[in-house]
Amino acid sequence: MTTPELPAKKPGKTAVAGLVFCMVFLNCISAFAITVFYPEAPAFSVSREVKGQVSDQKGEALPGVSILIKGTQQGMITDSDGRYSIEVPDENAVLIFSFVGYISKEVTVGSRAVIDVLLEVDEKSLEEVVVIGYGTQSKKKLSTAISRVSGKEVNHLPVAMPGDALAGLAAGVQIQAGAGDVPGAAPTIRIRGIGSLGASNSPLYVVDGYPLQSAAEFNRINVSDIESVEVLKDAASAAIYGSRAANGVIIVTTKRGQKGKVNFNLNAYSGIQDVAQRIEVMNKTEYLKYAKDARDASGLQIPDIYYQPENLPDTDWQDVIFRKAPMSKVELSARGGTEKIRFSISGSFLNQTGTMIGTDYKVISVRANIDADLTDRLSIGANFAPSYTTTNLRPTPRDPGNWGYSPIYLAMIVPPVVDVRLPNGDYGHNNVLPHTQYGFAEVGGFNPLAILELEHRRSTRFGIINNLFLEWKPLTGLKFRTQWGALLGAAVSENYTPSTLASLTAPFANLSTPQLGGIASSAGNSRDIDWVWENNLTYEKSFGNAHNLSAMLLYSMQKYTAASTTTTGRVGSFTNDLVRNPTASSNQAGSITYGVHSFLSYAARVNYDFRNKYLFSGSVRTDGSSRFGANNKFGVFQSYSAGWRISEEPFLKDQTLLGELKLRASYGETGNANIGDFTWISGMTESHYSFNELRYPGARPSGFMNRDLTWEKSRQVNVGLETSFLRDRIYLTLDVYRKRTQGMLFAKDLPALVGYATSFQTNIGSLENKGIELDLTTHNLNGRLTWNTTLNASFNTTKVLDLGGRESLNSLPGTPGWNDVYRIKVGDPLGNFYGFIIDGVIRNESQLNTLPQWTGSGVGDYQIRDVNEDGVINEGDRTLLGNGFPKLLFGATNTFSFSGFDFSFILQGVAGNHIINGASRHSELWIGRWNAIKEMAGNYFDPADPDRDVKYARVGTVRAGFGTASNLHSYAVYNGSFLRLRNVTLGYTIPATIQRKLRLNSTRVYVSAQNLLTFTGYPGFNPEPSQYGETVYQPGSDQATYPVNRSIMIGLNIGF
Amino acid sequence: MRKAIITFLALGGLLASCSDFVDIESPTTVRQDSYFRNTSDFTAAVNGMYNGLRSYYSGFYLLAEIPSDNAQINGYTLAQGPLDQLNWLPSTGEIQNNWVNSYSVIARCNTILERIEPFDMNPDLKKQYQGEARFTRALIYFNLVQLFGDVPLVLKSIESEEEAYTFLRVPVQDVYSQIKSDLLFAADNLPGKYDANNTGRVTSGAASALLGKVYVTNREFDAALPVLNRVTGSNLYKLLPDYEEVFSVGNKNNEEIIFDVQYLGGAGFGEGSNFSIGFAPAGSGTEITSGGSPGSANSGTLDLYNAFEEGDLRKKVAIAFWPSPDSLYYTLKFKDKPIAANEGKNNWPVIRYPDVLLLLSEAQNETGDIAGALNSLNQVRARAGLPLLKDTGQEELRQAIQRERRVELCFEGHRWFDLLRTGTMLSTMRAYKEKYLRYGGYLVVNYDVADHRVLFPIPFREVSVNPELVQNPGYN
Repeated sequence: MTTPELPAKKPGKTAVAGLVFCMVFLNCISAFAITVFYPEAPAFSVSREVKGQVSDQKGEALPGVSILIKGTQQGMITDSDGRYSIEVPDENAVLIFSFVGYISKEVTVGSRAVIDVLLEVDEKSLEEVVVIGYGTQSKKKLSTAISRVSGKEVNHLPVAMPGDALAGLAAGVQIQAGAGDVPGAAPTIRIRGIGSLGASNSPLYVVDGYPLQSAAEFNRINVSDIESVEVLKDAASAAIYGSRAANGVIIVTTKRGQKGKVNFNLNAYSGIQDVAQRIEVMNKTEYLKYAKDARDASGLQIPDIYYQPENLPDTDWQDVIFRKAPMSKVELSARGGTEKIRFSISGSFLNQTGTMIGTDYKVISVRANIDADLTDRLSIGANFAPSYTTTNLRPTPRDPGNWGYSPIYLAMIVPPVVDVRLPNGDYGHNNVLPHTQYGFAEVGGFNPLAILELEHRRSTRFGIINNLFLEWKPLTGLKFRTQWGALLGAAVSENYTPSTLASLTAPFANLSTPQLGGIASSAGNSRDIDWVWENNLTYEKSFGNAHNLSAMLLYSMQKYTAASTTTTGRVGSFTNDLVRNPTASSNQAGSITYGVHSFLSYAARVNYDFRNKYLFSGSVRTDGSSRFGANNKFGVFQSYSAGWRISEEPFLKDQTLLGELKLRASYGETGNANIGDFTWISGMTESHYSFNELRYPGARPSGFMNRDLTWEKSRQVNVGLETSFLRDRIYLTLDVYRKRTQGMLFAKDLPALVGYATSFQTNIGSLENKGIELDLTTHNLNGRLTWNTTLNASFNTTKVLDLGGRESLNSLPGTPGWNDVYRIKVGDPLGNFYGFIIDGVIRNESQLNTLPQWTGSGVGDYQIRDVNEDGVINEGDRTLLGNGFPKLLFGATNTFSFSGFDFSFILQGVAGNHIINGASRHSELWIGRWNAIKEMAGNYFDPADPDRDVKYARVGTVRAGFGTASNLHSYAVYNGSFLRLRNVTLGYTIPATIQRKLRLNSTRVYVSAQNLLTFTGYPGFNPEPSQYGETVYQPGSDQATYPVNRSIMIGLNIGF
Repeated sequence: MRKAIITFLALGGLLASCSDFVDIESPTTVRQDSYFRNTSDFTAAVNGMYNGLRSYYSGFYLLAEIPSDNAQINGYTLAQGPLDQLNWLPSTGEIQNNWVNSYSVIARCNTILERIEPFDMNPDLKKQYQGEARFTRALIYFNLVQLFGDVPLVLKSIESEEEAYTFLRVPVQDVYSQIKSDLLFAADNLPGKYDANNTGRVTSGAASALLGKVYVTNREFDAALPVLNRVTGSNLYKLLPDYEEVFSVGNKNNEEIIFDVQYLGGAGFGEGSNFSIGFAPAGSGTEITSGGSPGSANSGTLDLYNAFEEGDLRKKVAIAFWPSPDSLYYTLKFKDKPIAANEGKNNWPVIRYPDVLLLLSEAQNETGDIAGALNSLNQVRARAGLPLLKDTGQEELRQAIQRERRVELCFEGHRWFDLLRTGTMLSTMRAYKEKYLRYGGYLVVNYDVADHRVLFPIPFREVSVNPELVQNPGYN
């Protein structure tokens, strides 16, 4: 059969388009790449079309198979029915059919016009490969606990940071937005509980082989660039990063170019974010009633105008400070390559506006990965990933400093009767008439909108990770790799408080009455440089088809230096309001800090298996760090693991129900060095004085030297079971672990009579984490409608085993003002908090006199429970009210696809924890000067109607009795469990036939919603708050954090 | 290429062998073990020692005034309730802070004394620095023994954790012996006066005045007389005619000041005091101080307000009333309009001349020299515009002296010590409570004046860190 000649398409068109695209899109690197890949368009003779269908062994069509004319860049991809058509220059053309997971096939065209091809499954490639740190390994042969999240699971998520994308996807990994959705704030990530009380609990991040010193550059990775994320959870897997792996390791591998046709991809989405949950407060009517009741009870008056509500505004301050905020992202990528050189270049721009006025976050990031085979034995590669972020922030209640300056807080407590703006354009405040009549209004809290609109806090960071590597394979099986990486970061921050903004320093400043004395400004500059040089030698060999061995040796050096300077204009010294930085001050002060530390490491690892059935691995790593005392800089970390693939045994070979059955066990040691630099030395600290108004420099000794300070070590045992059924359609992984941290890096208390220090860094104490993790993946439906489910759940408890001889640590506040709340005791779980139980309100004299009472209590005050039943209410009745750490973390992902449509949703949640609602301490009922939550309206004790069923105590001036302002009580404690619809995505891929007409490979439109629904009993802005940052001492405390967002995005993804 | 790689490996091996890579010196911290090489290091260390007095005295009123009948809490300082209501616990933060700050200053003194001894330098300057350090150490120990009773006597720098646990409480008399020996050395070796660039350092007069106070406290009145007379007879000090001028920030280090803690306000270093803002009534905005956040701290009692005799010129400076729902009495002794928090110019007076005159009067009265005692006392009364007292017997004079001390030195951190020293704390505070229970002072209703309140407890933290430290009676 002959084929009619068809008009020739212009060859190389895609390449030219690509060239233009790349030039626009990227810098000289891409231009360089293009010149390498597209030297010139091939001269063409008589060309004709060949078409056909590609299918697998079962006869099912294979869409997405790449077809390339050998020796050219011309190529094609099969459509959803596995069909293709391609123009070939002549009969000698050879077509290469390739598809991931299948053995590639080369076919000479000859005279045929229709070529149907059958591809065979590549059994070897079907094995999932897992990155294990300085190498990869088949998942089947793994004897350690590693969770893998593939890029496909996260690439499509409309989130600003990779951490946000991981929530709910890996067992044992807790992702917590402790700060709420502050634009640019990264979530806290913890793996398998809490390992340390004295050093950081952040995991080690490794990006393309680069062990990062901080999460900063991890947070800037564009989620679409992620090929895979591996979470090394047990110590045996993490021990190869020994020194810094005690909190687990997160390895991110970014996408690299594959040989074959260049794929261009454009992805863009845009949408709206909104505050997911607000805190309901009283409106004008409710507030005025409360204010009057409270003042009446104290025998005081409310301002006269409060009797004319029609002349007062009814401001909803949360409406004023929150907004519907747009967010959008555009990203472009080009990936491809020849036999010898492969490349991947991508760039993205994310613009996230904050739901609180004045806040936003922008990231521009570029990533270029290039691999080149110089000879058969020698290859080189480079990764290059610059990013630039700008963040505009405003004060939040989590910031240190004055609460009265935090808009979120103020939006809850500034009374609704205060104007947002006055007729003359000024901001309304409550520290002026008419609100101050009769000494009514409170001082120290200002118009939240004024702060958002006038305060200026901006920071920018430029960061770049560079990685160069060379691989040499001198002999078969032997590979030497040397990698040199450098990370550079430069950040600038600016703060400015204008003269028109009211503050404690200038309480009456306003737009029409600026006060120069209120101006404050500072500017900071920092840079950090980190470099790492790693050399490793890997040897792999199989003996007699039975013994498989691989061994690795590593030598690594890493050094970090940082310097930061801050210039502050002294308050009161600003001479004008025009220059909005510290240079406007006649009296500037500067400060500078330096950081420096280094790591030196040697490591070795052996993996061995017998007939893929009995698996063993072992590793040892020696690490030295400048952070430790002169006597103890080096630590040795070792690990062992073994696995038994029972399913490979002959007695299980003849059945089909069970696919995989593997038992594995591991033991390993890992370390933690996250304690800051030079904490082991004692020094002289500046400590100046003045005589007769003249300033003299002074110094005092500070710190307590510990020459023995060394690595914190944790030892972890892990036992795992992996099993699959029905040809891997159901895959179950179960892990049980116990992690013990010993020689914890900890600031041990010293008797204060030492004088230089009240504590010193040393290695004491012990913590234990025990847990179970479950991962279940099921391929429920495999036909035209496909449905896959992954479920994960993990239970963890952290117990305090030893505190270096003490029975407990000094208790810590639950929120500023509530002291003696968090108590850490030997034998207890970490995160317990204590307070008093309120049993309603004291209704009458008889109840007051018959039940035990707090000294000074009266009718209308809270009835506190006599927990210890000693007949008196006092400190002894403080009791356990909850624990801030969740016992259970879970996540579930469901993905469906049906002829072009894809649908997925992620559920995520935690259970078993409690939250302290610290914000309620300020928004509680008192003397009417501040607003309170809506639930309290009319729901407080009324002396005129003492038997009415009310929840809250009387209003008015405080009595000497139980103080809700100074003691945590049960009303402020909530169950912290929540279930959240983390993401829902619905997409539609335009049929291949239409796409082909448009010269496109793949076009998909989608709608994606984040946090659409949250089921929680907690009434705050954020169901997973952490007022005290990443601390493990005071988990679950909330002081009205920045709210969590709900967002809906619409996106388009085009491949061409 | 192969060569290059081998070189690479070899280089790697070379570097691997040297662990110098992880020996890094701190770029910012001067290690203690490499300090004290020059005279200027000692000069700086002495300045650093004085600096410790700033944080020590910035919260001194919390233990020295709030528990007494001079001062009370209010709606803005509720957290200090346990101190005001005499129901503090070993865990009460202010007590802990005092302890920590005390030993921080003592450690600075000890380090200087230990390192300066073998150091070769100008002998006069050496003696001066030694005197300053010994005075400072004595001052802190003197306060410590009065507040806590027996305390650990640390006289050297502590080098190891084990060593820190060897310091246990020693009897009050032993601490007093050390205090006296330190003060005698200081009185003998310190200059009486400094040039203008050094005004504010400890003088011989300050050492004598403090020594006199130590003697009076121990009821060694005979020993006190010559020491106190040395101060009054030095002609270096006098009462200023105008009481307000004594405290004026424009008249710091005046002739009435024997020793005070220097604060550098207005320079923008945050090295000033915060007394003016801290003590001004909450809600007073810029009316009294310069705004910021007036804290209502160290606020007075009605009892003190009424303790001033008719016509006492000091009253308008010492105590004023701020009308508010919280009825605040506040002091104007620390008046300033600082540019920001911690930028106040107000010094904290530790020893003023009238303190010495009244101590002298007390010693004279106790040793039977009624005429001398009246003379000393009446100097203070005359400046206050009050009628001079006549001889009405030793006991009445004894009480008159204490009344005078109360109003003359109120809010300056003397009242609690005077009550303790004269053994009148329990009776005074019980009477005070009885009187104001009905009157309804702020939370007066709530407290009980237990016998063991004459001593503060050893802070909970210290007892739990080192259980060998025995707690004071009543606090277990």
